[in-house]
Amino acid sequence: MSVSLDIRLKKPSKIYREGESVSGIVVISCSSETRHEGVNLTVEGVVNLELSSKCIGQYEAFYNSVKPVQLMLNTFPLCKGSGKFPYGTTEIPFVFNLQGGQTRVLHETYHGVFINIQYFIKVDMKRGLLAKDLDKSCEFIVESSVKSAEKAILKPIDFVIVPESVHKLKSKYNVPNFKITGKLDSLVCSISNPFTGEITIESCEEKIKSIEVQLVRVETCGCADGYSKDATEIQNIQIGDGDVVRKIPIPIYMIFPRLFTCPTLSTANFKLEFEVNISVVFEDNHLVSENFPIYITRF
Amino acid sequence: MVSYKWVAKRRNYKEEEIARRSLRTPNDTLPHPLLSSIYKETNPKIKPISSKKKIALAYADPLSRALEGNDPLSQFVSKDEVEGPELYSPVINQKDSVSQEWLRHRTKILGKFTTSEKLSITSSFLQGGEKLVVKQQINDKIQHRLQQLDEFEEHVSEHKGLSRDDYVSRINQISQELHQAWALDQRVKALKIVIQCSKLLLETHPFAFYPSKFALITDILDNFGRMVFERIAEKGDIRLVDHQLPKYFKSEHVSEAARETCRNWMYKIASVRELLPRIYVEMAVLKSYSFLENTDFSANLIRLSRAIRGVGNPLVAAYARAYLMRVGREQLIQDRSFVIENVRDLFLSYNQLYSNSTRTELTVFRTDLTDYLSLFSPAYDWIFQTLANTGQYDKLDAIWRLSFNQAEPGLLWLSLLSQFPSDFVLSKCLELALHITTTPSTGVSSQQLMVLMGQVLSRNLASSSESKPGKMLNVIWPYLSRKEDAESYLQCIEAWMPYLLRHWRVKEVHVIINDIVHHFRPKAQAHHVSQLHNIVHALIRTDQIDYQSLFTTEPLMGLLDIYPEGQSRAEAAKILLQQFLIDYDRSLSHTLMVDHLLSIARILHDTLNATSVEDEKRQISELAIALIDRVDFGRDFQQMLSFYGDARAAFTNLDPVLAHLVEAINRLSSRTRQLIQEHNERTGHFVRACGAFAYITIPAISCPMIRFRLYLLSSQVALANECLGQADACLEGAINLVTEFSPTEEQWIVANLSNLLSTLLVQPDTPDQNRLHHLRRLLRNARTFSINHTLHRLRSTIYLQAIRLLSAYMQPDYIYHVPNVDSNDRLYLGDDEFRSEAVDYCSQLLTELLNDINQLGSENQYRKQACLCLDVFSLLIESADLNAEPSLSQLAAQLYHLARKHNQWDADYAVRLLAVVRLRSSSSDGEPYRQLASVL
Repeated sequence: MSVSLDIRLKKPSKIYREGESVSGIVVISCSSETRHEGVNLTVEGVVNLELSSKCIGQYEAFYNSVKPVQLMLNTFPLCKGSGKFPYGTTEIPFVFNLQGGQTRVLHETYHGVFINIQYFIKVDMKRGLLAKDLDKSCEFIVESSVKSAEKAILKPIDFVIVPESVHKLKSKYNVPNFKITGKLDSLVCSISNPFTGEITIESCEEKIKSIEVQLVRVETCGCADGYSKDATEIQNIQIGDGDVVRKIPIPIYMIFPRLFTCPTLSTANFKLEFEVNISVVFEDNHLVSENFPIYITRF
Repeated sequence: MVSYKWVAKRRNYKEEEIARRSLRTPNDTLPHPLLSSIYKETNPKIKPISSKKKIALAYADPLSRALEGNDPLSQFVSKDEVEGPELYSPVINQKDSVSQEWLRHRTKILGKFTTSEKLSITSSFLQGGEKLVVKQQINDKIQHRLQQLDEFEEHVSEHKGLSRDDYVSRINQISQELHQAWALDQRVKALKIVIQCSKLLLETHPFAFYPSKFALITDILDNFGRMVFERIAEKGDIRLVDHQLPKYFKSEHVSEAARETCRNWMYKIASVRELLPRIYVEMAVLKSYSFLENTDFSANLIRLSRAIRGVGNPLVAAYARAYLMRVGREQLIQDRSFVIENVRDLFLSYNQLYSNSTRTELTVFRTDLTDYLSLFSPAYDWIFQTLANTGQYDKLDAIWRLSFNQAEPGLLWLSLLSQFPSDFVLSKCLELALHITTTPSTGVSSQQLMVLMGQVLSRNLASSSESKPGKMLNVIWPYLSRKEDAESYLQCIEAWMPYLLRHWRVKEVHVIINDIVHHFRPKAQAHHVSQLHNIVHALIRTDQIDYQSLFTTEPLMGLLDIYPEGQSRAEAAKILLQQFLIDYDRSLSHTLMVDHLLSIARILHDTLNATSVEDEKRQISELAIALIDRVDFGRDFQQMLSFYGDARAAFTNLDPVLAHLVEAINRLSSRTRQLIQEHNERTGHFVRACGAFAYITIPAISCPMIRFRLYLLSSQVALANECLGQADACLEGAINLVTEFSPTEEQWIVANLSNLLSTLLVQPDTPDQNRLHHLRRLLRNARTFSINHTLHRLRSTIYLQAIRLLSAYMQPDYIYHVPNVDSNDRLYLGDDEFRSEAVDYCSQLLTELLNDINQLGSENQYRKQACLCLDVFSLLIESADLNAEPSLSQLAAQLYHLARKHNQWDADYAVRLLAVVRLRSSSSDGEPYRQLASVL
């Protein structure tokens, strides 16, 4: 007497834009004839905000501001009233239009540490008194549509790192002599294109151990009067390994990971920003690093 | 036992000959029995493989000469060669050739780069080993803890102190693990395995093993790439043709689900933290990009090529580039810009090899710079080979020019010289040679380069691209001859030898040889031998060799003299002789040349000792015989004789050669006789000398049968040359050998003894011996021999033949004579005593035979008995005079009945005998035969 529910979306990528219709099927497979008191499908979009552990206590005052933000919530009945599912599998197709509320914009899906923007399709089956209700949920991904999204503009930047420009953290450390130049092709990046640029070690006294590109998210929760801001690493891509050749431009190339990045976002309750750190690690494990705030767009 | 009186039938040989002449039919029209029918059917397209030209040709066996065309086995081989490649379509062939080439390259790498040092491998997918805590510089505490949790799960372990074989088996284990993970749908684990494998390529120590490590690990990567590719294709319902996408494939054909899977792979790989694994894994799965976009990969390849700039270690980077080249080549990309890009990047980072940091690293690991640089060769070779394959000569030229800008371009030149197309390289050699010989270099020595250049030039002697050999020689010869160090000198000269020989005249060849000799005087070391061999090879193999001048002058002998010890010198002598005998098809008449050749052959002979194997002896004998046969001084027979004398002195240990010499000397006597017709005093002495030569040479041969044959031959030749004494001595020698025969060769013995008996007919008795001295001795010896080895059949056959001979002896005019030699018929003309003695012997022999028949009967050996009966019957009807002696006729009838008695006789034989009897009975004196026929 087992019943299982499954949701299958038509698009294998599960990526939908606002205004698109989402279609799929709900598959109910039963090992015997099953009674039910109604099957409903719920579409929900929600932003979960969380305070980082270090600020617990300090910010309990504005607890209100970190409650989840609902972006959309729609419920459609798939089977009204009670009925029976026969033995075997039953497939119920569904289709709905992806549309936010009047005031709410559908933000893009984002999986972060303190902020999560997620969309789910949930199916629940009510089954009277004696049997347990069943439910199944499935995440789908929302991307902003062409007309609403910002376009990337080219904003290249050249940079030079020399010992003088380094803001020393430890005064004792003797900074070796070096000159590092480079350029980034744009600080405004389309999320679907890689982050590119190049870096050249013009000269360096110390042996180099590694050159890395770090993608950092800066998540801000809260309102104007009190907020928590946390920067955490999304990924770290090594572009130089070992004592690289001097005076050769080494390409900077990073693909923005899906889900973990989204276009830069700023709302009343939370903010999502991204930064790139380019760091050169010396043989003695000291590193110099240059920070670049970047603006990510969908297109 | 009744004793029968033998009466020999009177024969008129002339009449018989006339009567029987008509019966003979010449059978020249029949084909050679060894010309087997299969060769007539062979495909005329298949040509005999000329490369199979071996020493066999130096001494052609007359029997194998009949076998025109090739033997059946090599036919199959050549068929395969013809048909094999046609089975594949050209496209696959091209791709195949890349992987084939890589396989060859790989085998070479694995064979060459090994180490005895201990290796270690770090992996989380191997059992056992030490727990290893990966130390990483992570500031964030939480992340550090997470890391520790990860390790807890994965059990990263380090396996230390592995030998090379252990290491290879570990790699195989990882490969199996990968397959297993893949089969169990654990894709993430599979990816992790591959990443970990690529990470192993970061560790370059021990240096000597790195190229092999590369080969092993890229195998795993290749596998992984293929698995991903096939898996996505399967998901996208794309039918692969021989692991390839179909011809008209477009990425739009791929289902969204498959593309999503592919995209997932790519995103996952793009987020790999470390640089090297990321690059390697992406290269491995590069092919799968075709599911996402209609790409020719060139953009990806260029991006990857640039990304390799970030790899700091030059060795790691070089091999990463090589892998990129391979992956790129396998995709059959038209746009080869990535190749150029890659090579340019390589040049930009090239001086890293000579940087201080590399030097420090080498000092730490106590590695020589030369050894270190040699590790780059396989990678560079592959890279430049790929570049050469693009076939754009202007690009090659640009790269070639660029190489001159480098401070230490030696290593680059090594690969450029060996990998660029020869017609490109040849035109550049002169310039390069000038550069190399004048500029000092470190790491890669000028000598290494010159050796390689020599090899390249020597391989392409026929090419016309290299235009100024004269200038080249002017550059190269001073460089070569100035070299002091024997080792490097030898290497260079070995490589350059074919080139030098090609472009220099005969006189200068002597200069080369003298120079070589000068460098190694007095003796070369044992490890120089193989290279010296190559030089000798080159020397004798060149097209325009003047054998006359080579073999008549001293330098060559000097070259042989500097060989360190006997065996290796013999090897060189063998090379010289073999090639000479193949190439030099005229006969030899130049005394000095013959002399030198003989002494070269003698070197070979002198290495033989008690432990030499039979085959080696056989080979040397064949060479010596071929040489002896080649010598011909025309009508200067005296000279021939003295040459044979020298040859005998030179090859005392080789029985086949001695036997051959005896035959040759006999031929010489016969030729003399043929020319002179009638011997005068001078020729008489000469043939006597020849006979004496033969007579004293034969005893040195160990096999009694060969000795017997040669004695017999010599006696016949001596007899023909009217040297009665020598003929007698030789016969004596032959007869003495009968008891030493090998009892297993019964057929041979019968044939040769019969031959001897026929010779005895013309050999006159010597005055100081008894009548028929030789025959009696022979019979005695044969009897002893047959008793010793219980060969009754042999004895009876000899007796039968002896009776036949004796019957022939009794004729008034013998069936054949030797000109100018009086045989016994003349000696004993009218001597009744001789006749009665002969009759007496016949009767004794017949009695013996009858005894034998009785004996066989009593032993119930009826088949043998019947056989012998018929033989004696045949003897009787053929040789005995049945008219004169009716008892013999009765005996014949009895024998016939006895033979038939037990019905175990050879009926066909009997029928034929009967036919003879009937035939005889029809002739004029056929009365006894008629009677006999009526009885039977």
